[in-house]
Amino acid sequence: MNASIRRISVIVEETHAEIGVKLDKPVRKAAAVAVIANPFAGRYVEDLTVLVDLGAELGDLLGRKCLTALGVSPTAVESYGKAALVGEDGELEHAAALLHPSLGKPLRDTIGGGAALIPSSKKRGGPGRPFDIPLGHKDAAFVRSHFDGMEVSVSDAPKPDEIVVAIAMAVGGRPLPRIGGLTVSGIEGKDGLR
Amino acid sequence: MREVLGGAKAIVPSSKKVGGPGTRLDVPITHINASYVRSHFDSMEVGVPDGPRGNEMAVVLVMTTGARIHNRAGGLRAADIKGEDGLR
Repeated sequence: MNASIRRISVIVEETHAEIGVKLDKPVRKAAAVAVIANPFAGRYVEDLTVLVDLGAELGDLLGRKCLTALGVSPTAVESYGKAALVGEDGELEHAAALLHPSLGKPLRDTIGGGAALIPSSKKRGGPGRPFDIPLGHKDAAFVRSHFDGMEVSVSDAPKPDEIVVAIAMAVGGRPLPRIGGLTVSGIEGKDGLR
Repeated sequence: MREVLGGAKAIVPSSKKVGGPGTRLDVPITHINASYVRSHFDSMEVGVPDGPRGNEMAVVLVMTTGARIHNRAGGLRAADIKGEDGLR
């Protein structure tokens, strides 16, 4: 592990009821959040390969943390998402380097694959700032019941020279979904969209 | 939203949560015609100091006219969009 990790937080949310209506099956979400040092804080560096490589490590590590927290078999995971919060002396592009080129494959490997793109979000902020991890179905981005999100925060991070990287997984979509669209049972599973 | 833009092929990325007045919301952003354009994976944080109240919802649309500043993470470029499937 080359990432200089200061902290890992794992959060599990289990929703049993919504607006007084008990759910047939609780919706379970887990987020694994790593606080890492930003090797490029405070200066412009053209080549971000170091962060790309860290992204690959974190995709595997945080993916496995989510899966362990959910306590389900890899194929039981239904949706996923990723996000990063960059400390004030870093660039938004540092979040991009962590999230986009190399994080996806090892993350998908932890759950036996995923045809859909992994929805993402990124921003800059200080310690304790909440940030939202978008969630979408892992095999078909258009599954409407699984468009969701999960808010996370780490009270003392990111410091100016840190980055908070988060992965979320869910078993189940939104509570009480009823706005139609593509359903899980209608997934074709060919293009990652439908 | 797509009609306002004169057509757009990619899925509109989204996020949602429940919260009280002043809650901040991160709106994900991607290229309008090809979801995999890496330079345009971005987001915008918004919030309304006194909303949503208990009986309100805050609904947000975001549009941009460019990529991330100093984008250099590689991947599919906007100039190389095929524009057939909304992905590439």
